Amino acid sequence: MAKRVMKIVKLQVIGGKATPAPPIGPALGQAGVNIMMFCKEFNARTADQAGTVIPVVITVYEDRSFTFELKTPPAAVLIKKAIGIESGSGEPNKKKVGTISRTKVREIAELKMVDLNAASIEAAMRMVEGTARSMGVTVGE
Amino acid sequence: MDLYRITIETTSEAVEAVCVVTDLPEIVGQDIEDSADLEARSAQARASEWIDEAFLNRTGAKVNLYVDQARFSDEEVKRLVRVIEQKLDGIRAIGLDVGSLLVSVEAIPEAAYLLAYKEHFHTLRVSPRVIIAPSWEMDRLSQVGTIGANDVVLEIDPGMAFGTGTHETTQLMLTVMEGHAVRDARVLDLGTGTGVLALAAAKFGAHSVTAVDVDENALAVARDNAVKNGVADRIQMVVSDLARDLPSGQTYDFVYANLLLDLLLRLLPDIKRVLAPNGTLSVSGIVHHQVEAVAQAAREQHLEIIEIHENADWRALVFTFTEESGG
Repeated sequence: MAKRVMKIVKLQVIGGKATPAPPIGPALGQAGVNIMMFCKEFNARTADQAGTVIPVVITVYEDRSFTFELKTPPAAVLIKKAIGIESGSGEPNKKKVGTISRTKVREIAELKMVDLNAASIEAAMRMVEGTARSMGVTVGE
Repeated sequence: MDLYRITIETTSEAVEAVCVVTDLPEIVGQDIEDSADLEARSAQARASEWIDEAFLNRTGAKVNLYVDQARFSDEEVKRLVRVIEQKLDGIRAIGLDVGSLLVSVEAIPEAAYLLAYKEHFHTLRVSPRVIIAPSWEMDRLSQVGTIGANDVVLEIDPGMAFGTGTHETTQLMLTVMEGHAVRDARVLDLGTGTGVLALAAAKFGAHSVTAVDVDENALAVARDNAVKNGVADRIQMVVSDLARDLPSGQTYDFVYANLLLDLLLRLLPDIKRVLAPNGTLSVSGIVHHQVEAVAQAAREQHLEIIEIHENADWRALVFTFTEESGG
C-alpha cells in the first residue's frame, strides 16, 4: 500500500551517536516519529562510521513510520578536509582562512553530484564555491 | 529541553552556505527542509509512497536552528536573531541565489516533540504470543483480535525511554524468547530500556529476572511498567554498564541483549561470567552485514550460533557454549 509522505528532513548526525536531543528530537518528534526508534536504527547502521558527521535524509510517512538514507559528507566538511583547515571563518567577507583550487572544487562537486540533484556539474561546482566563500575560503584558479 | 526554533528561508543551492554561517555556539542543532531532497532520494525510497501535489510543488529550502529556551530570555533571542541576520547578509554576495533569507522564531516546548509519538503508538501483536498495549489503550485490546489463553499482554508506557516493543529488533527477541524454556529459569535482560523483554520473561513464568540498563531514567520507566504488569516482585532492576557491575557468582540460564554492534562486541568477553554453563545467549540489534563480526567475536569466547532469526534487515542470533569450552 502506498504511504503518504508527511515530511522530508535532512540532519547532520555523528555516526553511532544519535540521541533525542536537538536537532533529532524536534525535527522528528514534532512530526510524531518515535525518536528512540530512529536513534536505534541510525546508530545500528552507522556503527562502523562512529565519529563521522553523516548527513541523513529522513522521510516521514502519514502513519509516522519513516525511512532514511545516508548521504555524502557536507560540502563544508569536504572543503575543510581538502585544504586542511579545522574551521571556517567567523567573518567570511573580512577574514580569509584559505584558498581552494578549481580542481578540488570539481572533485568535491563530482562526489556530491549524487546528492545535490544539481542539473549539471557546473551547477554543483557553483554550490561548492558558494559554500567555500561562506566559510571565508577563496576559490582560486 | 524547551526550545526556540529559528527558521531561515533560502534556496536549495544556498542551503549549505546558510548552515555554515549559522553554525554558532548558541545553536544546539540544525535541520534542513530542502525541496531538492525530495527528488534526490533513491528510487527504492520512492517506490511505495505518494506525495501530495502541494508538497511536490514546494520550492526552496528552510534551515531550522534550535536554541535552548532556558539559556535565553526573549530579549536575548531577539539579539541572537539580529546576529544571525548579519551573518546571513554576509552571504548575499557569494555568487549564489540565496533566496529571501527571511528569519522567523517559534517556541517549542519539550513535550511537543518528545511525547508527540504517543498519539501514534497503538496496541499491536508483536510476536506470535505477545501483545503490547500502551497504558492508554488497555480498555481497547480487542482491536488486535482475539487474545488467546496463552497470549501475554504487556502494558507499556514508554515515557522517554527506548522501547515501545514495536521495533523489529524487539519483535525478533520476543519471538526468540517464546521458543525458550523460560519458565522457572533465571533470566538476564541487558539494556532493558522500558523493560519489554524483562516483562515478557516474567510473564512467561521466569523464576527471576534481572533487568539492567546504564540509564537510570530508563530503569525508572521499566520499574513503573513492571508494577503496571504485576511482575515487580520478580524483576530486579540494576544500573550497570552491560554486565560490568553485576554481582559476581550469579549466573543466568537465559541472557537477552538487544543492543547495538559495538556494545555487543564489548559485552562478549564478560558473558562467561554471567551465562550459566548450559545457558543460552540471545542477541538482537544486529544488521545483516554485521552477523559475521558478532559470530567471530563470539567464537573467541567459545560461543557458537545455534539459531539465526530474521526480520527485514535485522538479525537475532542465539548462542550456547561449545562443548570444548568446558562449559
